[in-house]
Amino acid sequence: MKNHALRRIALVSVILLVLMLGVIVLVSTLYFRGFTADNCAKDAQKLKTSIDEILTYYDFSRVERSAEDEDYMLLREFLRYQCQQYGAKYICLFHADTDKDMMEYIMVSAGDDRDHEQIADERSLGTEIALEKNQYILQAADGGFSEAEHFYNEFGDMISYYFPVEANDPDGRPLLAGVDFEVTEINRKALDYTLRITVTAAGVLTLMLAALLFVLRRKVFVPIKQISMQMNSFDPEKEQPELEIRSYREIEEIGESFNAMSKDIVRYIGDIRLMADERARSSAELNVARSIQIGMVPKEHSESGSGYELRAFAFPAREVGGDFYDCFMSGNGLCFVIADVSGKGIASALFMAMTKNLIREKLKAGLSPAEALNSVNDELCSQNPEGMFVTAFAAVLDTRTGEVRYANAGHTRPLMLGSEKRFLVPDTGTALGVFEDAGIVDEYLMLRDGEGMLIYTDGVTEAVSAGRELFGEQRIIDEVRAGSADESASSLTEAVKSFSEGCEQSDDLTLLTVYYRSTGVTESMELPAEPPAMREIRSVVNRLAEGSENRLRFCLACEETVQNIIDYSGSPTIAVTAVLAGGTLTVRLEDSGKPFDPVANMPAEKDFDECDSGGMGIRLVTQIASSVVYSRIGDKNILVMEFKL
Amino acid sequence: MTIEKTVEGNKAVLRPEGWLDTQNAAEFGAAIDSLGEEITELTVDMEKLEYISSAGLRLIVAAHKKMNGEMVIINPSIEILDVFRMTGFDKRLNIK
Repeated sequence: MKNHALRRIALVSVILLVLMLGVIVLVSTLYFRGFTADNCAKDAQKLKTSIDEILTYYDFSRVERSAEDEDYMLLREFLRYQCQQYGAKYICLFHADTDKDMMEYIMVSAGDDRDHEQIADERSLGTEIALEKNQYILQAADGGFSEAEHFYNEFGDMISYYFPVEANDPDGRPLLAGVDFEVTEINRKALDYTLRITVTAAGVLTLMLAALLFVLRRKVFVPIKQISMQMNSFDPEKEQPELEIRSYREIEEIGESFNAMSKDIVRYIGDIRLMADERARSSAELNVARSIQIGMVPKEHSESGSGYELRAFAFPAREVGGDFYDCFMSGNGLCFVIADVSGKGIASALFMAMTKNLIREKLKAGLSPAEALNSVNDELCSQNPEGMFVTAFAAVLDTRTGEVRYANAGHTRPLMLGSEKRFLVPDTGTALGVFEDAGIVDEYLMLRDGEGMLIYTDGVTEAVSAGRELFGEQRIIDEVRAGSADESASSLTEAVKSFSEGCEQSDDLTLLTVYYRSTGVTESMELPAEPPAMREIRSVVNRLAEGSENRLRFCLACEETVQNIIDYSGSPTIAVTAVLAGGTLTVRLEDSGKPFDPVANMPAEKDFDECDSGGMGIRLVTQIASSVVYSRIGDKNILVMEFKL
Repeated sequence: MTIEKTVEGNKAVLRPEGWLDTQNAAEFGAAIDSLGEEITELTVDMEKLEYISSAGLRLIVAAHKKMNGEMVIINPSIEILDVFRMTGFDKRLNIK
């Protein structure tokens, strides 16, 4: 566990305090010793003045006479008093005989009572002791103030000063005085000072330290602790009380920063939650969109009916995409559509749904593929703020004759599947939703029994292999197997899947195959557009409608239409396809003459008398045939008649 | 086609045989044109006529006008009668 900063600071401070006090003690001891010693010298000077002054009151010759003398005792008492006054151990008066190297005591006083008594005996009046050439005494005897003499004897550890004093004795020998300060006493005084200083310093420092620690605790550590507790208890779910810090600028800033930060965090968490909700909602919406899309465009579809079979696959890429196929029956036959909406996502899916329904609606209403796509283009152009577009291929298989009528709006080329596989090269208009005039035209193709057609989106041609290669058109021809709608669609799907194995599917993969399965007898031929053609067609109708009581009527209708073509179109040939299936005879006539719609140009009913000028033929046809439909595709006139046997 | 023509005084009978279609219409037309001014009553016997197209119908109307309505069609087959019905000629022609 880490140390608390406050405790650590306190500990360090105490150690520093103790060290500091030690230094103070050391320094002050030295200082006060010197100071006290200096004081001793000064005291000695003062003593000399006092002694000089008192001596003027005494006749010193009398003092020297006897220790019992009153003056002697008074003077001694005075000196004793001076000892006490100046803290000296002894004060002595003596004569010094430098020649004999002897000193003769007159009196010695001590501050202490016992010492005072005792010294009176030991150094009584007239006591002589060897001077031993004491240089300090010699300095005094020479009339100067001696330096401090340190010595140690039976009286203790001393510092002594010697100096001459003026005795009131004109005939007397020079009088010297000495004063002894006890070193222990000096030290004691110094220690006393030191102690006082130290205690004071310790007290002051301790107080300062305590104050510092108090302030630190209150202004720094408590706020920090508060902030840290606030941080620990931070809960973005709850309303946070604002943290109030009263401290120094820096600490307050930490508190304010934390307040700001916690507010930000609370807000960010709110934002994140909103975003997460939003994302969850939109992903749920995407899932819904996806399932709607899959509902609209099933992953696989298989259908067959009279005259056709159909197989479709749709594998959308990860997101909802914009590919779709559609197939349904209309009055004109089996309609099948494939398209690719630009982009991905919801917008594309919505656009896809709109486009799909529009195309279906138009085709069901009986419009030709080009009419349907052009009309859808107009509608898309008028309501396309996103600037999206759709490439589309729409076709109608006449399940009676095998004619596939188709129109291409910027979509990939269809492949014809028969004994040979070849790409059709359609006259391609622009994609839907871009230009008002898409220039989409109808084209057609006659499928023979067992032939089919493949349409697909660029998810097939642009499928990418692990080696970054594109699937391309040639591989479609190589890989697709003709035979049946299912075989063709499945073989191509398998090929694309194994080609792009190991790569994430980058685009929707959608394809559809349609095969024409004739359910009856078909006769087709191409005849020169000359009168003998009428015989030919009559014999075909006769053969196919054999046994029908209406046989002659059908011949009449066919002959009349052929007659029309010969008379009006200027086409060199007439292509005839006649199919008998399920009690219905369908005759399809195709010529490359100038546009002529006999149904639209049918003359109004004439009076009998005018009938010799013609115009009856087509009227007869409409009466005989259960349906007569003319269309112009490219440079061809196509007339399809249907007869109920 | 063969067209049998019988003239008795001011009455004539035409018996077309086979198919009266565009290709044969010219022959039938020629047969009608060959009827002289003296002929005022025409009978078209359709007993052996198998088929008639709009080109044939035109000639029938032309003949009807030429005879000023004095034209009778006899023995039409059901199929030919059916064509007359479709065109509404049955109401205007004298068919027996």
